[in-house]
Amino acid sequence: MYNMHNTQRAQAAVADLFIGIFLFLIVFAAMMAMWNTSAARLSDDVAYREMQQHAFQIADFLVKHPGIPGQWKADNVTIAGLGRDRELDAAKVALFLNLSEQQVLGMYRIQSYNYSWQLESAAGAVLTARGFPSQGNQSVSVTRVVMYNETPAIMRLTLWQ
Amino acid sequence: MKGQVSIEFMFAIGVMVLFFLGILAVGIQKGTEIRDTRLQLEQEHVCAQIAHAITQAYLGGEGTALRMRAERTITVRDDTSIFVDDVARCRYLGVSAGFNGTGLLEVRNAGSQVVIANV
Repeated sequence: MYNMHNTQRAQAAVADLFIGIFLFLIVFAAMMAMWNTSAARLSDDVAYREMQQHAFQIADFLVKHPGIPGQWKADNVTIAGLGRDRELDAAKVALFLNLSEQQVLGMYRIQSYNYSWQLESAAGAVLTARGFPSQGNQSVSVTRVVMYNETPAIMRLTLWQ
Repeated sequence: MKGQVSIEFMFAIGVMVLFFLGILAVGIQKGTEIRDTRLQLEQEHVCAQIAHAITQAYLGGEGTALRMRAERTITVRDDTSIFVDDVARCRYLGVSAGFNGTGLLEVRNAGSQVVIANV
């Protein structure tokens, strides 16, 4: 009688253990899922900041620097700049519009992104543009107020992927 | 008889030991991942800082100088690439002389190119 009672208690303890393990596994699986979600978010965040850095650098370069070389043409350009001190050179803008997609992506080292670039009047009308509008999951848009043909304009650069 | 342990009890202990060993292994793996991620983020942050400094110095014109402290070893190459601890890589826009070092740095536009030096 004593032995039977003792065996029943041991069986109950094992059943409790498996219920505990089952509940723990559920919690553990939820924690792992949250971990993976957080890791994916972190990865997206890092990629976004990298894209943001590219966008700021390129936008600043376009509006503040005449380019490398200073009098660049389509066949000798290393990095295209459009003016100096936010004053855009209309001739360089025209040259920039005629560069190939590969040249633009290559000179700014943004082959892993897509981009759109446009000049807008102060009223918001698009004066000129190149690239493709954003269709991706992530995009960074940088605007700079510039002088173009002696009137204020807005240069908008968007990187997306 | 009272000193003997039941088979069920032994089995339960075995399962628990295996279970906790599994959790310990996952914990160690995740801890390593956290350390690696933190190191990578630090390196990318330093890389972004130096890339930004070089680009701004270049765009600022001759004489523009910025100072920054780099706690990690930075390698700047004249092909526009930057390495931090020989691992993280980012790029700057402009023209810069090569550099390898750490500590307090001055990033100066010397006219035709940016020059980085310890100060």
